[in-house]
Amino acid sequence: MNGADIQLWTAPTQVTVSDGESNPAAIASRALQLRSREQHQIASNFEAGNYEMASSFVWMRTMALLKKQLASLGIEFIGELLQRPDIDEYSEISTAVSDAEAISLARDLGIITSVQTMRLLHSQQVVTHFAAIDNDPSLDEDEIMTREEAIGCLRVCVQGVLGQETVSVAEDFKSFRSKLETETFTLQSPEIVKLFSSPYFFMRTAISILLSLFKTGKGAQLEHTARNANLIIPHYWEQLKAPERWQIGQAYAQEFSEGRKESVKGLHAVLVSVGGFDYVPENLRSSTFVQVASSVIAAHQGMNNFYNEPAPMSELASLGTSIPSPALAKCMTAVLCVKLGNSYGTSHAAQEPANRVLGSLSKERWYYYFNERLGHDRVILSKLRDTRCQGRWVSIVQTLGLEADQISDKNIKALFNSTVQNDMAKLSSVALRLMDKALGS
Amino acid sequence: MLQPVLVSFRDQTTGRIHDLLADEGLACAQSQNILSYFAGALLNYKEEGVEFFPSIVLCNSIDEFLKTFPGSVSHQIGSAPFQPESGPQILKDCAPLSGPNWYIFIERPDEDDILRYGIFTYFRLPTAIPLHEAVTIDPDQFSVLIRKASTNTIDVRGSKGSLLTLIFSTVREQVVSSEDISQFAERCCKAVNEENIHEEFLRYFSRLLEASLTSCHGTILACGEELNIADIEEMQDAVEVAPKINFFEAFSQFKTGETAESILTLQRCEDLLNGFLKCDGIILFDASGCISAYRVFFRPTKVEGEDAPKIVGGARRRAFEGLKGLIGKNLDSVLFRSQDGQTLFCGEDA
Repeated sequence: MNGADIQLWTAPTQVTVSDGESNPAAIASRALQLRSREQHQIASNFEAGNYEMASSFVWMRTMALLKKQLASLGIEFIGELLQRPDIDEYSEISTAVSDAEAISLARDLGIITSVQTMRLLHSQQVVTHFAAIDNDPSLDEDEIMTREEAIGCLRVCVQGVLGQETVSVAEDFKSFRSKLETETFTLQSPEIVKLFSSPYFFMRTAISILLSLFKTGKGAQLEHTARNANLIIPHYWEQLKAPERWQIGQAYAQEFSEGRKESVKGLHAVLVSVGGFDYVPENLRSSTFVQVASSVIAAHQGMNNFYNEPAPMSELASLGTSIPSPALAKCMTAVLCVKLGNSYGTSHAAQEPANRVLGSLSKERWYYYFNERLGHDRVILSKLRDTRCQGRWVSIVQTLGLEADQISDKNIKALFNSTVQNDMAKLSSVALRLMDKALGS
Repeated sequence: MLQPVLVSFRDQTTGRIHDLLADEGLACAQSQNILSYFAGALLNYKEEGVEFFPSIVLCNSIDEFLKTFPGSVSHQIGSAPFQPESGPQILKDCAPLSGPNWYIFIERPDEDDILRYGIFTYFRLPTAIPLHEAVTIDPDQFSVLIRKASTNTIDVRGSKGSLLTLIFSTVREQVVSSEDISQFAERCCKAVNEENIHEEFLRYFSRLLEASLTSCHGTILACGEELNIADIEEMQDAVEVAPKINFFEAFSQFKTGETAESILTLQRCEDLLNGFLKCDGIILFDASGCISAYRVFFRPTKVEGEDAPKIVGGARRRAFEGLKGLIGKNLDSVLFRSQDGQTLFCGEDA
């Protein structure tokens, strides 16, 4: 059974604007979430050739709407899904959650499709580059956003967000989340059958929901959650990647430290049934690493990233070279963001602290990254299709002295081999295949 | 010649421990005997004149037992024959090492009759689950915790939740309940308005009071909203704490940052509470989780008539009865803890 065929929740598939539509005025007129005045202004700016201005406005409105919708699920829940311990109920979603995180999350929750996700991530890079202050027009008058880039951005924003009558999380997702705390499933429950045949990120999301419910649930809610966790997690444990296993162990340690005995009992039962106590960290030091690594990624994906990356990257390097295992995946993504940069270059000042962290990583830790993380690392996979990022990736990986037979997944092995052989075309195509898989296409 | 009559608690203690072990699914005479030994020995265990309050866990495997406890560390100190005669050696070796963060373990032997013993600890933030609650997290893993709960009380609890409270006293005992402490803690948190951490703070504060009262020699805690000692005629002899010891503020900082500094701040408050508990007199709390005064002495302003009910007990008990009269006027609630562990709560609308 193909996981992409049966999914527990899916994004709306009605077409608001076809992929072939390239008339800005026609596309803008479908942006139901915008006032007609705003639609006209967008069209006029396109006519006047003000592509950066039009795209920045469209992008800003799209992200604001998307984040508003995500916030309606509860900001703490969003923090749990993103595995960001620094996000609490007082966090302001517009600043706490980066655009890329919001896009990725929107995919996980069935707000947008996998193709829209890829296109939005691409548009984000384009828009942030041209809106950044280091893109000084007086230095290079010819470096402007092209009409095609602007139309592409407008079209995907309308298709995924602005053109939807209501931007909302998939109903199936909401119902599943609610049932996890109000019903006890069995292996025959339709939701469970669908979940087990869905792409990996559904399981990852389901685990995040369960862990979030463990933290907030009480009484009967908590009992349903504990029973459902004891059904779902052991059944899927063998397929779970290490970051998700660490997430469960981390939640146990966190709940223990918070003194929530009933939640601890529920999580304990899960860990006993899978023999997962090796994934319970000895302390909560990893939270700090995750927090700083997240700020590196956010700086990298935000405006003026070349200026904003050095400070959090230096902070990450100063936390010490022994990165706790639960935080390793996130920290490696953060360091690779800085090292690979984007199609416009890298942040020079952030390279030295990034090199310090990279220098401290053993081969085992790189194998961990390849085997457990890279296949689902949307941030890095999206970079591996860009020529300039590819070059930097190759120069890093080729010096590591890793062996392909230590890598278990065949696609990741193919990606590794194409890297070692400097085969950029193959690297692009494997990265695309992996990205499709990570997005559940 | 008349034979002296000897009365011992041994039979009762051993019998009850036998029942507890049966409820926990263990039939083992030596486990029963060694726990009975500790039940008596922990009541007043001293080394070089210093009293120790060790918590002892009897389990089948310390490694399995500690899986439940994140960040746990154990050190084996020695081994000995699996019999009650090894008890003194275990206490001699381990009791001086034990304390609020280190506990004693005894691992039952597999095949030979040699037990292993030592000490263990686990990663304990101020809000972490205390040992006596954590032993019940894994009911399938046999373990029994024995500890001194007050001057004359020994608690024995098993992983399946069985609890035996041995009170070495000859007076008719009231049921000792942790409910009283929780009720009092609730009153001390009544004015904490921050909903998001109110529940967490209450849980922390209850556990703190319970742990602190366990090791104190008896006290009275009183709580009042917007309390002003100057207005209370009966409480003119007091040491006001200025600024107040604000547990809630320290707790909020800890929850916000979980920095080393915030943990130390909270621990400093806890240390001071334990210091106040060593002093005579009443400790006053307000409803926002603050200590506002200690060494407070209650002096009745009117002489009781002959028809007033007779109060049985010492000065502390008499003070408690007197304070009851202030509830609803100046005070919201009072918690009494006698030297022998009796705990009484009295509060408005309680």
